[in-house]
Amino acid sequence: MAIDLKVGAVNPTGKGFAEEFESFYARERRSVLGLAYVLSGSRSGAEDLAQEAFVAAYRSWEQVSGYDDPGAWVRRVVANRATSWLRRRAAEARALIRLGGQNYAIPPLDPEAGLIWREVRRLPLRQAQAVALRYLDGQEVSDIARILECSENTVHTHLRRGRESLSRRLADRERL
Amino acid sequence: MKTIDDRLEHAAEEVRQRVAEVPTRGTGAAARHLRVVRVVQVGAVVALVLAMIGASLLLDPTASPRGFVAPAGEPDREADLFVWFHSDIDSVTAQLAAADVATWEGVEYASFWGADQTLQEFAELFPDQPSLIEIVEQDPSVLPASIRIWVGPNADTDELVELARQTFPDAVAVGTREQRSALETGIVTSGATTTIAVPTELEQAGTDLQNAILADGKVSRDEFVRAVARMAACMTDHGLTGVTWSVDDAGGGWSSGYNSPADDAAEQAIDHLCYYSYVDRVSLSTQWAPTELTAAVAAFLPVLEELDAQVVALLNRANQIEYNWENRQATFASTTNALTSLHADLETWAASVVGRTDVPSDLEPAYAVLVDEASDLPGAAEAILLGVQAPDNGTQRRTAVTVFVQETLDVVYAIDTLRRGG
Repeated sequence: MAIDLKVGAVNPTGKGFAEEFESFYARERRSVLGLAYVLSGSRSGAEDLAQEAFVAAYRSWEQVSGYDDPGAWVRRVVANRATSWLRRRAAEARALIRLGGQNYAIPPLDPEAGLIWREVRRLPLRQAQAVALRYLDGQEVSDIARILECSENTVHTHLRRGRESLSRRLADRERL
Repeated sequence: MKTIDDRLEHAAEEVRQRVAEVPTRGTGAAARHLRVVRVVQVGAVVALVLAMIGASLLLDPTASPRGFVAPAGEPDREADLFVWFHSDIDSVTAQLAAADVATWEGVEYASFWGADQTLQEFAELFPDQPSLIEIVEQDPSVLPASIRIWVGPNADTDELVELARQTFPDAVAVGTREQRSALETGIVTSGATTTIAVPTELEQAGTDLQNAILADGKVSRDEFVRAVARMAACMTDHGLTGVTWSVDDAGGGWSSGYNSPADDAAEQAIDHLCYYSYVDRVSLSTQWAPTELTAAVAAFLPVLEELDAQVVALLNRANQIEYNWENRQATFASTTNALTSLHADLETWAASVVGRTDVPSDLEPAYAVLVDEASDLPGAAEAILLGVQAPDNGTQRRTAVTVFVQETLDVVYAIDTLRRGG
């Protein structure tokens, strides 16, 4: 009945480093969950979005563990999945079925933080992803470029435009 | 004054703190934890349909949602005509417009329904679905605003519809009570602020493609690549520009990119349409079919798919019973009856697993593990029943449910092992 959690512990490619999935999951879970939350805006569905990405990594751990940065791979999957409106709804529907009466939803944010992340989600897709990866996840520009599969210059542009738009929108709100 | 960087840092720290408060699920090891999602993933398409039906039901014109206080003078019946707007329409302007509509010949009454009222109607329709209400409360923009029009007995409804269309050229849609459900569902599922026409039905060609891929119970990497390529073509066909896509060696790491057509809602609706049409069912939870299987093992795969679906259905049944009991939506008698029935069905199912005579010889050792795991399930279900009957605070039952879920996941693991050829 024992389950082998050491899938992928041996890295057949020799690239990067071999790592047991469980320690990878324990290390990355919270930050990936946070990323899923700020990009989806769903307190109840974020965990499913994050878990989908980890499931994908788990199932392909032999390959994924051989990548230079498996965490970047998981973040890319989350970033791609978290921002689609109905995918969010599907995740929420799954969460409702799965969670039943249990409460695994992320607790509400304070109003200021909630407002800021709502405005982040209103940004164009790539800008929102870049801002979330930079500020929430603390990723460097080079890492964001790798996660989003674009150039560093493009990331700089997304971040600059994202910050400008956020400043403007927040100022507009506060004037009202 | 705080800079935008300061504010983002604060917002980030707030998220980190809240995320840290999320409990880790009680199933223990990470793989078990993840398997819960894997199991539920099997029902992802069903869940999506449920979500869409939920949106439709929310707007069901045959329901009677008027338990709450309507504006003074509003007739106590469903409105006859609806003019739907983007959810961010200015409410003052809309109320003035509704007042104007109320003066039209043949109109008995007209009123504007904004987010608050629509949300209240939603809550009236789904009093037993607090989680659904929470979802909508988090993002009320999914509910369209509307001017609702009650027509007098001798009025020409078609004429009023046409007048409404001319008067409100920016309206998302105009329709009668009979058209309401379909129209509103379309608005909801395609994004309330969409200005580009987006089909609300999944593309038949995509459904056919996914069915064809899944016909043999497996997905090859080439088949998955083909599905993603068709998704990308779908996006292009519907107006997205600069569509790119890739599938990495690990399969799950596919990505796609495109430029926005200047309408984020339309972009996301097209993304959704194409993803679910062409990729969803063959993606993520699907393992790449091993290529080294013998013909006999490959021929056994449909049996494994059937067993997988059956055990997931039984797990979902147990979850539903637990949910109903925990939330006081079921009586003691109905719950014990349901668990007794579940126990009996699990015994039958386990016996069918034990009794199979068509197991390929290559798979016999791994199949013996499945038999062993399946044999544990009836007892685990019986333990839930005993937990319900126990004179405690529910701890025994909850523990039994956790064990049952774990036992079920062990069965799914065993099936997965068989799928890989043992």
